[in-house]
Amino acid sequence: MQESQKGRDSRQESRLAREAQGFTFYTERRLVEITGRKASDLKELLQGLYEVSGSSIFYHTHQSFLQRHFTVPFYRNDFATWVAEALGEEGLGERLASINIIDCSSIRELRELLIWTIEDHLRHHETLEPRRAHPDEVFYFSKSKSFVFPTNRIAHTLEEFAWHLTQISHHSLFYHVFVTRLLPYNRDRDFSVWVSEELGKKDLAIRMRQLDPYVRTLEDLKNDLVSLVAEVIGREETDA
Amino acid sequence: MSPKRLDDYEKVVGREVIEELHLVAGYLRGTKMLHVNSTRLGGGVAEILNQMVPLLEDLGIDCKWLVIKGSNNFFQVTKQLHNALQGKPVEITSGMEQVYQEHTVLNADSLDLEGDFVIIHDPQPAGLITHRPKETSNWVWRCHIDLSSPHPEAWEFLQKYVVKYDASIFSMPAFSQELPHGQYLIEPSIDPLSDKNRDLDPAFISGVLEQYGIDPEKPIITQVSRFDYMKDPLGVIQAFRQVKKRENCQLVLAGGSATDDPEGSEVLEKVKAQADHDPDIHVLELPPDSDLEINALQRASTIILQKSLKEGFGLTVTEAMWKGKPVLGGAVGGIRRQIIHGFTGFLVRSIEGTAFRIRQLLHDPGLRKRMGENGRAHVQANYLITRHLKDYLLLMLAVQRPQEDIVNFFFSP
Repeated sequence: MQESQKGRDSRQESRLAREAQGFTFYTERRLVEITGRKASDLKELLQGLYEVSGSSIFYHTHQSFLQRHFTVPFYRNDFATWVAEALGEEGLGERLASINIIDCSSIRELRELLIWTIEDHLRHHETLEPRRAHPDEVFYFSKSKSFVFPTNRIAHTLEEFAWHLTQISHHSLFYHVFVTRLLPYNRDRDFSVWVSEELGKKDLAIRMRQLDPYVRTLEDLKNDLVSLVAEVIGREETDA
Repeated sequence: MSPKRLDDYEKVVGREVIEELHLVAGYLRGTKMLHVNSTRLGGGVAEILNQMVPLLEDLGIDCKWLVIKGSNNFFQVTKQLHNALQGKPVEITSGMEQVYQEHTVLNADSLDLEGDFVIIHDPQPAGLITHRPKETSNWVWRCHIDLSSPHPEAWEFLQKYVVKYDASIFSMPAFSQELPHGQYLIEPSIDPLSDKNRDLDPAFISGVLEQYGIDPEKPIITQVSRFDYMKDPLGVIQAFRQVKKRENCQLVLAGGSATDDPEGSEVLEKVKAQADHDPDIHVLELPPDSDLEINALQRASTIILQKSLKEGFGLTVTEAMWKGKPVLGGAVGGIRRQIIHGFTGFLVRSIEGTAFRIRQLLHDPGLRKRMGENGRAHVQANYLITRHLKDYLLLMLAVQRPQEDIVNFFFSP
């Protein structure tokens, strides 16, 4: 039976629609903005945590992942590091660093956990003399202004996705893993969301989400993601 | 010499970094950017602009660089202002203000200050904002000095100009001030392909040592910087004398002058007097075109010092780390960010501490090597001109969108 023009057009449209939902890899660059706000003790830090913008909270809990380190960093969280090193409050530093950011679905939630942890510490230590940082060790709240650019890498299949994943920069990986998780309007750029919703691979999506990026370097994270995807592709080829 | 091309840097920084710069610059092609500072030669600002302007042009930015003119009297005033902004108590008199304002008017009349982005470097030309040709352009004040504890009178004098800008740039969060506009953190950089930093033939390095009578067999401790009290060359000589009591080594103090620094010759005379014809202290007064010689001296050195008392950002610290040298730096200003204490060098706070760290490093070649390797990696990751170019490109995008924390570009340029 000869296919009608309408039918051909419809198939063409649906093919284009499917391609339009391919996964575009983005990359991100950051410029650090100094907020002018600073803290010399816990109460000032707490007040800052209440008042600074979400991008400042994000910056101080994530900037370390894009830095090169010569040793294992004390903590990846600037607030935790400052509290432990500049104020000598090592117990509180450890508690702040232990907040599982992977469990937070928004910056608001992360902010509340940071605040709650410090307030709880202050409640239990209210009789102690508050410690102040040396003038050289004052905490300066900064934030990053983020610029998100599309790259020319677009994946339509899991195989294409796997290839691009091996090629993308750390900045691109950082954006797709860290930024998209905490900023709701970027969520459709999360790897696991695309894999689940566009490719229907729910199990792979779950395993991707289980990889905790906060306890890995970007290099390790990339390798683990690549291995995970390669494993699924290998299994599908065997099944076929 | 052929003009600089960004692609030449690929062999140092990799393809990804070059592609990133082209990607961001694509959104700014044809933008007119103007830099204004106070000297064409000498000092870190001129050095960075010399390197950066051609590369911005190569990226499609219509970039120009102008230099203000001033009498000796004007630069005496701005030097005092500079010192006061770095904390030295100096009275700012109405006569000084008058000299500053008169020169600002003269320069505003003679310079073409048109541009989409006008970047004014440091306090000397800051007053030009009052002669901004049109409000549609974006004016940014770029502060290269240590403003962490300015003398209040000096900041009051400068502040009335700075508040009129659309944004400011500082090298350290601690230098930022209360201002009604966005303040960005951009750290200075070095150019790995410039004469100051490129690889050199060992024969050339030997020739430079011979030219200046430096013994290649004896450990060399070097400080390269303008002859300026803030760089503490006199403290360096005192530290060296303490080291010399037990160690056989030599000191090189190599410096040039800048046209906007009238204090240099006075400091140089004091340094010579303190060196007192010691054959192991080489005080070298280098002309501004001595980049290759400075490069050679740094490469021949065992340890590099930058014992500043105040420092916005020590380019010589970065240069030395790039050459794989351990660096001792004063624990002040930008140096505290540049040197990772114990990994790329040591931060020092006294003459005695400087002498102690010199002796420690002289006796530990393994530590010198490790610190040198770490330093080079630290510069590769953070302090090369390509990172600086990226920051300037992002700055232009940022200033146009002061309220947005995330700027999404949906289409390629």
